[in-house]
Amino acid sequence: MIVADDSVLLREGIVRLLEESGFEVVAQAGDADDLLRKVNAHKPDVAIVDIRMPPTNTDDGLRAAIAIRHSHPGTGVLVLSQYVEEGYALDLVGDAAGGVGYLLKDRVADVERFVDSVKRVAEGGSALDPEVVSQLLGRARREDPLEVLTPREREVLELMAEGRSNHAISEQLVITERAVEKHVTSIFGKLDLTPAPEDHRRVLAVLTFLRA
Amino acid sequence: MSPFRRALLGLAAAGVGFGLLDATLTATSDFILLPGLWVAMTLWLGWGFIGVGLFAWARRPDNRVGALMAATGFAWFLGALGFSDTPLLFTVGQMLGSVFFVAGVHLLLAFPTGRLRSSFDRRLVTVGYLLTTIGVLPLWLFAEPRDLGCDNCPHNVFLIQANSSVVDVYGLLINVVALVIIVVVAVSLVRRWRDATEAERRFVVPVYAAGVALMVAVFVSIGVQTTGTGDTVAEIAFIAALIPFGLVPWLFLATLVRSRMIQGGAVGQLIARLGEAPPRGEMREALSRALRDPSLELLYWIPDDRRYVDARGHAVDLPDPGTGRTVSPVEREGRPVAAIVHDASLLEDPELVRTAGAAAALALENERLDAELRAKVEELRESRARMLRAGLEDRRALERNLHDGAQQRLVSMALNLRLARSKLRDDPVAAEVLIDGAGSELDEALAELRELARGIHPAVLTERGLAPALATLAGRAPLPVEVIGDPGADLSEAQELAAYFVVSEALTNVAKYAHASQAVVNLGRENGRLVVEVADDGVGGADPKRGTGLQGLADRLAAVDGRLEVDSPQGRGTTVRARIPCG
Repeated sequence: MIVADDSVLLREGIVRLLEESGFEVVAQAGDADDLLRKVNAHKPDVAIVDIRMPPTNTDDGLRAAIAIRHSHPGTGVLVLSQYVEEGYALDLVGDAAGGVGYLLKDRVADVERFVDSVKRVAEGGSALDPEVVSQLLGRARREDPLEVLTPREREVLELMAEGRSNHAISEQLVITERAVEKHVTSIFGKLDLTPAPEDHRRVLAVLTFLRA
Repeated sequence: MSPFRRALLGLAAAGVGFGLLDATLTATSDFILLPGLWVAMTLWLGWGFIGVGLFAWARRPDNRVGALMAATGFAWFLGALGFSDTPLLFTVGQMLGSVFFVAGVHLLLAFPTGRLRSSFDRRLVTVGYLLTTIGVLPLWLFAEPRDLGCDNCPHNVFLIQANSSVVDVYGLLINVVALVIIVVVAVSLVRRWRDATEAERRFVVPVYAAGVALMVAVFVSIGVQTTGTGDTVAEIAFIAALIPFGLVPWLFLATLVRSRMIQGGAVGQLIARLGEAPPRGEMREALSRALRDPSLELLYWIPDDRRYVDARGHAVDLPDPGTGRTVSPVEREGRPVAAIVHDASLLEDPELVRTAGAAAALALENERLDAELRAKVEELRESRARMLRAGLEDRRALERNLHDGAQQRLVSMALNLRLARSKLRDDPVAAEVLIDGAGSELDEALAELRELARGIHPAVLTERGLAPALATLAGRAPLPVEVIGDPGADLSEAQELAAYFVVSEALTNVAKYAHASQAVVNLGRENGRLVVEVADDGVGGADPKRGTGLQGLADRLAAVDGRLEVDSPQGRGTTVRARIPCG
């Protein structure tokens, strides 16, 4: 695990949190170049990256994250951002939603969910912030294709887009995994999407659909 | 030759012929004592009025003074037929012998435009014409000149029965009415004289003076006649009265020539002065002197705003017609440069104003540039003050938001945490609830801070550029917004920020007021300018002058030399368009 953030306070905080949760943090980085170097050296399972970092203090972190995704497919990337920009999320995901996450910085405060997200990314899954998903879903459209969904199906779709597994969705909504599966099949049918077995593939399918 | 000119020439010929006829009749008349004097008087008056009248008419076909003056001359010649020894000509001439006088009064009252100003004037003149035509008819049914002391006069062809007492009573009545009219006219002329503006005085004063003298003389003449002091005195008084009257056309002509010469000279001086490159700002003085109108003002055309400003750059409204002030635009190479606001009476000679304006056009163009600069400075001063105010207002709002929002939540969180700490040992369950509460306060505070930061400066704009920032804006709008076109890459941060806030504010307005079902953000380039357009299909009717939002946008744009256009016809949607020069 590598944590890259120019704010030492936050970086140390995240490191402590991760170590307490049983992760091993092999290195810390204070800017984008440092991060790329250390990823090269350590080849970690996950790099947790702040978007805004030196040298230019704009979106260096994001660009580094995208570079890591290309050069080290084995390293999952979890990007933290002060703001939700769906454009950033979409750029980051690109055309593969495996081993990638995009979360608001605030989310680290919810330790349990944050750790869950880190785990998902480490295992090659995805973790999209609920804000990103709600922005994508909430975008006003002339003809809302999501109108065909029932409220429950919409909830399932949101959780699915965040990258949650059927099991996690069933726990969150307090329904059986079987029911979740039924909803997912129904959603894919209604939206005319090709069913995907893996969680991160269906994230991509949903994102592609929402972006269109 | 135009038909109009030909008609005037015909009238001139008729006037010459009529005059010669009258002169012959007068010279050979059996019943007047001083035929030589009367011939001279007849021709001087008649040809004077007709000649000057037709000349003025030809010069100014749209001004009726010339026509009225010629008509007065013909009326005079008509009356002079009364010197004839032929009974019919004698009777008609004598009977209509006073019409010329009413025509003269008509002319004086209608001076200098040729139009009677009030319905009172019109009624007065109508009464006069009726009195001197139909009014005197009954008198000529009973009057026999030979019985009334004119032994050599021809007999009255209209006579029914000679009755001197009817003639005396009716004649007295007519004279009294005539005296009243004369007094009213004289008072009216004096009042006009007094009320004339300085520019008007040049035209009207000599003529009014002659008119007042005429009124006094005729008054005396009729008075003498009525009191019956004697024929000789009456005749002398009458001739004396005619002298100032005969001066009217010549005074009018003299005024015309004089003003033309004086003003021609003044315009000449103006041109000479312009040749010496007059100091800026003195054009008003120079034109005011040349046109002899101290009240003259200059306005300068600002093409960008399509309006006039004064020399200090303040926007001004043009005077309405009918206020006595008139606007004469000055153009140079087909483009408006300035407007001369002057006394309406100067339009008596529109050519002069035009000549002066044309002579001054180049110098006015320079002053116009000055005024345009001042208008810009004024606009800048105002917009700077507005931006300062808006900045203060923003900071105040920011402080308020921080204070009411995040700060309160952090305080409450601190409280909750302290409480939790004190309960940690004795009541861990309560402590947990408190800590949970603090956690959600924290989430709220973070969300609020995020929103605030976005409002202060959208990070995505700096990080990714205008197009992605606008896409985000569009995505966050509560209605479908399509972003089309490409803003290009060569924009400065200030230009991008201005464009971003145009779209942001416009979309906020669409959401708040437009009741629109969708909006389109269109980006493009036009003549080296970035054009950002936000169009909705809502109710329209937005007024850029009301509300600080659009004004603030215009100011923001002005800071990058941009301009804001708002097109919002009632019921047909609103289009907000910003043009920002770039590259």
